[in-house]
Amino acid sequence: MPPDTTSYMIAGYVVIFLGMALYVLSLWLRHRRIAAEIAYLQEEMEDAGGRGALGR
Amino acid sequence: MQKYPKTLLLLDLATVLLLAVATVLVFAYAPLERTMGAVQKVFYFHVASNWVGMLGFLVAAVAGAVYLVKGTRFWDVLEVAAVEIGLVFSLIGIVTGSIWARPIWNTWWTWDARLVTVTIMVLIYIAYFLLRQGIDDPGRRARYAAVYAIVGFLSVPLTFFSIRLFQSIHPVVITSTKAQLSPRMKTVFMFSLFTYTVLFADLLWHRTRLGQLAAHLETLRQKMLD
Repeated sequence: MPPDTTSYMIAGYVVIFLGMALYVLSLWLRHRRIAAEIAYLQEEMEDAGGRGALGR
Repeated sequence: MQKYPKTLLLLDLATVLLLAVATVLVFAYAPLERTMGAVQKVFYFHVASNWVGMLGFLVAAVAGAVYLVKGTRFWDVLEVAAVEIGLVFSLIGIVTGSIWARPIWNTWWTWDARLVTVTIMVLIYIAYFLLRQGIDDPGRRARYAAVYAIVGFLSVPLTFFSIRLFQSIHPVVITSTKAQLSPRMKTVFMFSLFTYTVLFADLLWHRTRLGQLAAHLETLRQKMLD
């Protein structure tokens, strides 16, 4: 009869899946933050370009 | 905004499907090991995690070498992506190894050859990010990081072969002649390795896209300042 090491197996797989899930989440959050910042900067640049054209 | 490539979406779906199948195989198909019990099932994803870690560092070294030759930013972005993924999976490998060791070796940690070399390897790649943060000039940062990724890779074969070169309590599962596994265990093991290789490709693609997006943001910021 093998020893009961089920709790360690569960702990191991929790670490594996939680680790991978957290990494995927971090990729998604970073992507979202950078995309939002790019959109904001592009808007600012367009506004600045528009103001420049009016000024001329 | 970057368009989401169809091939990447297919790779995402294939990765999720393969992970689900591998998990089912681990719990429903792989036999229960007689002396260790259920904790031995950690082996399949523990080894696969370490495999992805080392694969990440290999890809980083190759990307670093190509960067030094070509000087294209893409290779620097790929290199960072590969190191980051390698580090995440190496850490998962260390923690799962520690959990596996507790009931089998009766300790969470011991200064065994494999555990020492894998710790050194992880510290080397943590230092990679510290090096990058310490250099402001992007060109110089990329060059230094590329050299570091190539030299740092020396720690990977040292870690891999440590259990063969030095006295170690860590098991050598795959020898040059045969794998010390039952046929069912071997099938699940090979499938897990394949699954994790696909997972690595998928994550590498995503992380490289993120890096390219960050590079684009950097260019925009520079334009705003000029």
